[in-house]
Parts: sequence; C-alpha cells; structure tokens
Amino acid sequence: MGKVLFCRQVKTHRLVFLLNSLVPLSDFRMARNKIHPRKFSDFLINVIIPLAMGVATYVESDNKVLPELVRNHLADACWAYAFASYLLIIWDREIRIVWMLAMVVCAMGFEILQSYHIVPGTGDLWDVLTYMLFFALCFLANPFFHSKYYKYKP
Amino acid sequence: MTNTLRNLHSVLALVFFVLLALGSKVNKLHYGAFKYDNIVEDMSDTTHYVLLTDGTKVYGQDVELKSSALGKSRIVCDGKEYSTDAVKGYRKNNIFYGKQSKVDFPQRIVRGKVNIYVLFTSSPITGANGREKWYTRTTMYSQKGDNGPMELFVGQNGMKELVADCPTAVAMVDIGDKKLIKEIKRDSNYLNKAFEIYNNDCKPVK
Repeated sequence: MGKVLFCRQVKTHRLVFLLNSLVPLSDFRMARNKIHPRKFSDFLINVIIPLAMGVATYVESDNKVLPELVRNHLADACWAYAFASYLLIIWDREIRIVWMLAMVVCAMGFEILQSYHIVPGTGDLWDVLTYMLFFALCFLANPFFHSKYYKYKP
Repeated sequence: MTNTLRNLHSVLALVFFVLLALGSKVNKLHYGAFKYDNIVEDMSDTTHYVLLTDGTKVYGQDVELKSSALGKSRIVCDGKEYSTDAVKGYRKNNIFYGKQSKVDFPQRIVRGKVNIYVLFTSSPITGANGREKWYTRTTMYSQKGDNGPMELFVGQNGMKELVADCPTAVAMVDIGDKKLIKEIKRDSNYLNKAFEIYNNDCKPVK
C-alpha cells in the first residue's frame, strides 16, 4: 500500500515537472511578465493605500480632533512605508541594497536640507526616526508579502 | 522586466517620492512675516466681549478661552461659560479672536474686505544635536468679510490670489521670496500694508 502511494506521489511530481518544462510560460509566468493581479494587489495594499492615508492625514493636519502624534507624523510614516514598498515591489520584493540605501539617503537628506533651510520645512529628528521606523516595518513585513505574492504555488 | 528597466523604474520611484515630499504645502509665512500687534479693532467699542453666532455681543470685564484636557474648549465671560459652537469669536483688550474651529481662535491682524488672522502654536522639535527646542508655528487664515469662512493660506501664491483684483497689492506680494524677505526686514508692516491697501479700495494708506 505504502509503495503504491509512494509511486503515485513520484508520478505526480514528475507530471508537474513535465508540464512545467513543456509549458514554460504558463499563465502565471506570462502574467508576471506583465502586471500580475497579485503584484497589483501588493501595490494597492502597500503603496496606494498608505499614500492615500498619508494625503488624508496631511489634508486634515489642522484638525485638532486627531491626536498630535497622528497629525505630526502619520503622513511621514505613510510616505516612508509606501516609498520602501514601492522599491521592493519593483524588484519583486528582493532587497536591493543600493536602492534601499538611496531611499534612506533621500529621506535623511531631505530632513538635513530642511534643517539648513535649503528646502521648505522644519528639520526634525523625530521625522528621521519616523522614516527609519517605517522603513524597518516595511522590511519586517517583506518576507510575508514576498511569500504571499511572489512565490509560485502550483 | 529586465534589470535595466527595473533600475530605471527605481530612479523614477525615487524622483516621484522626493517630488511628493517637496510638493507638500509647507508654510512659508514664518513668524515675523506679518506685524502682529497693530491695533485693527474699533477702539470706540468696549474692549471685552463675546460675539455670538447670531451677531449679539455679550460684554464683560474679562473674557478667556479655556481648554480642557479632553480638548473641549469654551469661552468664559465674567464667569459665564459659552460653548464654542455658539460663538463666532471674542475680543479681549484690543484684539479680536475669530473662531476657525472648535478649539482654534486665531488673532485678527488685518481688518476690512479681507480679514487676516494668525494662530500661534508651539510644539517641541528635536534638532540635529539632539536638543529639544520649541518651535512656534504661525498659521495664517484669510476671511472675506466678517462672516465668510476662514481659509488657510501658506505663501505668496495664496496672498496673490487674495488681492488679485488690486494691482498695487499684487505688485507688493508677487516679488519672489528673497526680495520679500528683504522688504519685511526693512518694514515689518510690509505685508499688513499690502492687505490694508487692498482693503482701502486699492488706494495707498498712511
């Protein structure tokens, strides 16, 4: 009985392997070359929605009903999370050190330029910490979204 | 997608997010852009009152805006409390404070066809050296007439729109950041004057 089951499992695996090699561009692979719905879902959840939330917080930043922490930092947090997610999604959620460093340099550089009044705004160390915290959060969530959207599951 | 395309896409993403950060509406009218202690109210009127939403003025000896820990504000005039829903503003000494929201009552600094208000809020920020300091944020509001809604404005474009039908006032505010800063350093009343000219039917004021 066990021998029969083992043989069947081997046959099934062989069949999948055979099909994959016969049809290398299966629907899934073909779609990945364009925009796969899974990638779009990832983009929607991790870029569009955080950006929309950031814009909404920013627009309502004068609304005193919102707690001060939300009014001061949520827009920055959403921006950082969406920024990191976008760069990860471009690379199918594989971490590219160069781009991640470029992103950190951009965020920190922006605050430094603000503190020297080169760009409008007020440089604040708490903003830098917010960026770093949400970049880190994005990296922590990366394995989950990677396995959810980018691993081929037959 | 090839790696070249992905690299290009990443560059575009960086540019997009940097532009998004730069494009945010940052207040360029910092503390000192206007003169805040001009007397613009009618001095013949009694100096303390609460202006109710129906236009009634309730006079008193003392008026205060009180905020509670839960963020609910009220105006107290000689011990009698008024909900901020029921008031349009209040006057204390020579300054009128108009209601912008249930908790914010900015100070009127220019009065006329266009009223200009300023709200000061202080919040702590941490500098590059790690030291905490207090930052006074000035938020500017405009109001068309005494009954119009208060609207936020943040820079020269906002001011230009407000005085658009007065070329003299437009010429005063539409001069570029650096020149405007020089003019304000030379005359701290410079921006107030631009709005006073506008309110004076575009004629010069003394």
